[in-house]
Amino acid sequence: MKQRFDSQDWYPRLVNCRNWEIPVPGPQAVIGFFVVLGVSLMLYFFVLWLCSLFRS
Amino acid sequence: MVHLHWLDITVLAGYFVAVIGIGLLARRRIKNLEDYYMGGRRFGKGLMIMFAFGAGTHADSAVALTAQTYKLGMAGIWYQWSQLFNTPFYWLLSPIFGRARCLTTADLYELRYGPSLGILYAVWGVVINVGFLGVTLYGSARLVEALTSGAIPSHWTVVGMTLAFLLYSLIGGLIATVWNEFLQGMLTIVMSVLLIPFVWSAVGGVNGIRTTLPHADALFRLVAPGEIGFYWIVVVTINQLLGFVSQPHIMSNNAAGRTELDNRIGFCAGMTLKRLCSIGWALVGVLAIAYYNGNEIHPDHVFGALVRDLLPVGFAGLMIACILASVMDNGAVFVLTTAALFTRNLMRIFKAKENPQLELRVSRIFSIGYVCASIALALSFTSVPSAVRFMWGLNPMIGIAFWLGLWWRKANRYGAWASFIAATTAWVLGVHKFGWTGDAGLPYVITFYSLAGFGVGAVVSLLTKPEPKERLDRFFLTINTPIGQEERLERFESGLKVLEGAAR
Repeated sequence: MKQRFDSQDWYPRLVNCRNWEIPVPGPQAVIGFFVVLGVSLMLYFFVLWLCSLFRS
Repeated sequence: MVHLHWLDITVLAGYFVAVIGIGLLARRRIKNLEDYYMGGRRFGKGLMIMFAFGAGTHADSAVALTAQTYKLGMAGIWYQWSQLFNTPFYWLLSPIFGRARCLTTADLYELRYGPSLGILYAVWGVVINVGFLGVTLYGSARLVEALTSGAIPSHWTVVGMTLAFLLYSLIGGLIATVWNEFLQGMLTIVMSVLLIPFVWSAVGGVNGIRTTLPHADALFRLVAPGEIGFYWIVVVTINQLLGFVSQPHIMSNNAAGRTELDNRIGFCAGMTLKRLCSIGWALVGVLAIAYYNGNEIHPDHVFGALVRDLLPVGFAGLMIACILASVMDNGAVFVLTTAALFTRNLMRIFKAKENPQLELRVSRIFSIGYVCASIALALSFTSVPSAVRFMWGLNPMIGIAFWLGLWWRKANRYGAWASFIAATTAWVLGVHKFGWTGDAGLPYVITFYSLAGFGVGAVVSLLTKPEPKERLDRFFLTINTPIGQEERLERFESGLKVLEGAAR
């Protein structure tokens, strides 16, 4: 009976250890993470290009 | 000297009337505290993007970044870009705040660690917000001071802006604030790009810069040896991630949207928009080196001086409106989140029975005291970048406890308190005892207080009594239950009641 009310049984976790509560990220989280990372990298490389324009 | 044309004055007056009018309109939609502090959690993607952008962007951001790039070259961009590579992690973290189903960040700490941490956060959150508003007011006052060559006294600017944002946020709560963010966010974007074509043309473009600045190679690099190096960038990036989660306004920024996707897109796109604007401010700072080549000018005054020297009279008036907008939208968010912390988490220590009407009245009175404290702090700062560095230290002190408890069940209230005390002590020691100040000392002091906070917090948690299992289960289930699946939480709570009944 007690097992039923254990929060760890209600969602999948990434690490199989009782003391760690890292949830498995869903598709929206994974796709969004890489999209946002891509946009951040684009901005970074844009500024690098801008700097090279003034240097060369 | 900036001479304001009657048209500029009309535009400014119209702007003030518009923002206060929005406050009055929004008032009709406020029916309870959830409406006042969270706007009823019904904003869409567009409003959430401008809300996150407006709450995170203000005139002092432009002043500090332009000052740093004027001093150090493009490497100064990291003053705003230290969160660039954190933005993907914000995408992952954003739902936690909505799913917590809390009104304030202090409620979230209470959910994880119990009432004592809720109170600690509420007190520290008020301190953080006094710092935020103080820095914002100081940065904008410096800007207006430079822009008008002292024609508009800075204290009048501060008082005028404060009165306006107090009025519309107190009347219309978060609904008025978010509606105004949209208008003011647009004006902030204008402020970010308006100067570039004028400075660009004044210095003669790329060829003009190469001719004027023989050391252009060193200025157009993303590191500045001895000041902003690779270690500085990595450490400050981590520091921002530690501190981001504990900003008082982070709750409304990530939980006032209609859906989780609205919150996620709103926050991440708003932050990305800010990084985009930062490129404009950084470029303006470096171009100013060529423009003021050989002339002494205080770095804090660069942005305002360029506006004064380069923009035609009509544009200068528009720029003043943009500056006021960027400060006032932030001021309104800070006022609301601070009032929420006071009434929701501190006032209840003395008053057990809930009284929403009284809370609303007290929050409005408290807000006035809060802005007075912020104005006093603003007057104590000596430079905008140093004020920004001061703020970077405030957030992580309490943010470390959040990270300890986010994934690790062993973290408990004793460890959270210990991490806060250890990190704060290490911060004070690092700055005052070891002399780690300025850009050169910043990475050392951050490393020192982060290690102290995490280390002491973890050891104390391991050596003391863990949090009750029910509290931990409730916390982790809550932050892992998407909005709209509340029946899962209800089933969990009713299950606990059955267990309690059986135990009796």
